[in-house]
Amino acid sequence: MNSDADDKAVPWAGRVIDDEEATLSSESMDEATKRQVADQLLVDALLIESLCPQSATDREKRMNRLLASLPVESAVSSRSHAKSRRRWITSVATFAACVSLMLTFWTLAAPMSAEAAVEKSLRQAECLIDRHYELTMTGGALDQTKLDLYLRGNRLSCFHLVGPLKITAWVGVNSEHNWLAPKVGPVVVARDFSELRERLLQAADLPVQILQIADLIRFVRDDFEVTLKDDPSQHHIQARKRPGFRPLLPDHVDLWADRDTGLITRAVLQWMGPVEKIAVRTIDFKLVDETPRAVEWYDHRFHHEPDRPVIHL
Amino acid sequence: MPTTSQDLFEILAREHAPSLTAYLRAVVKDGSAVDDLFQETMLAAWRNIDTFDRSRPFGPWLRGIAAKQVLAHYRKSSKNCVYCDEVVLEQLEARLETIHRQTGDTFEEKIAGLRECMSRLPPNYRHAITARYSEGYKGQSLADHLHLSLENVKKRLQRGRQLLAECLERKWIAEANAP
Repeated sequence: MNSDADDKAVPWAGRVIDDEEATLSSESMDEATKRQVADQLLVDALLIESLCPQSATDREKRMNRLLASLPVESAVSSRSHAKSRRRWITSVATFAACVSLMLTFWTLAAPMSAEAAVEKSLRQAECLIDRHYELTMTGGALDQTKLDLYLRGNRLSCFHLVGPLKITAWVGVNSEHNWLAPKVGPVVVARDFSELRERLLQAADLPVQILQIADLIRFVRDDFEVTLKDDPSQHHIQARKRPGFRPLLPDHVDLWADRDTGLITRAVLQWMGPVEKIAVRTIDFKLVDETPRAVEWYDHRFHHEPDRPVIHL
Repeated sequence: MPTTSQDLFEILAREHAPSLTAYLRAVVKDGSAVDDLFQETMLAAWRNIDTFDRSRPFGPWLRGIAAKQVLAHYRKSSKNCVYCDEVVLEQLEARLETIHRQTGDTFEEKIAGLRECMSRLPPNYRHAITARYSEGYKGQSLADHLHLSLENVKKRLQRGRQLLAECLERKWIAEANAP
């Protein structure tokens, strides 16, 4: 890399990317600087695409929108270009494409394996899309039976907890820190979730790690035997824990996923045997919506008054 | 056997959609404009498929159409197109062709090197990049999240992206020179 070019290109690209200044002029730049700027712009684009590779849902929607437009285009086009279209169809490239298409169709027609369905759902769950699940917990000592869980990809999550005596709190379990914001009293922030446990009333009984759908699917992939039940409308993945794996994990997990996108619309977790540390016997996740939320929603400050004391453990 | 030109176009469109999206995202920062330009580019490609020289690769042809759509988009919005410099667009095109030549069946596999480069970033830069791109923090909320000043956050992001660009370039050169 040219260091002179870097000196100009990096902050310039930063102003375009981070400050969204679209009125800057590139006229005074030399060619090397412009190339560095292009590299910075491309890395920014690739990071957006790669870290949540443009959710499968969005990608599919974009393609469906395009394909829905094509028949109209086709009718218009076929009148004026019928002759040249025939050349296109009979070309060597077309033949190669036909072979590819046959292979593609063959692949699509082949039944998906349970493992592939799990991977597809995992990739979908890791996408940066805000999702709201309603959880129903049964058979435990917890007073509450419902919990609203909000997720964005596999890194941000928070849930609204109703504890004994109807004491409520918002709880965040994120990559950088965990927090507890009760309705009254100080807010507590900790790096390790275990530091919050004793303050979280009966939350010691709550298997927090499986409240993140992406983590749950990863456990299913790594520690469970999976089978795929035939269902025309969606994938139904049945998972049974391998003997001896992670005693705190549920014994049975049933996942229902959208066939096209892999999006988990429902998950039912069941603990069959005697469990000392987990009070719940079943947890039923149901997807409520995918309403976009501000990223601040996952921060404790969104859920309490600004003047509340905050204790960092 | 599906042999209509629409079926064939769909194959090409699906194969090149990710690189087209990356190209558009690099030069248009508004997400809904990216969606619209994606549609307009693909439809223009469909309408002009007969003019496509089949002895040449499809990706550069498609992005050539995209470049015209981007210029038209900026003309319509009366904004000065800082990204539309010929050298900038040429460099983007060259980089995306380099990506296209990488090992892998899908665009995601071809840019797998980016994740490797991410894992090699010094932790400060990696955390800033992760919070910005994985978690979606921006501006002041990103600064608050990382407990840094806004200026420091911007510098970390800039330096992080620069290190990633350098790392990718080294990888691409190494792959090109591999026997």
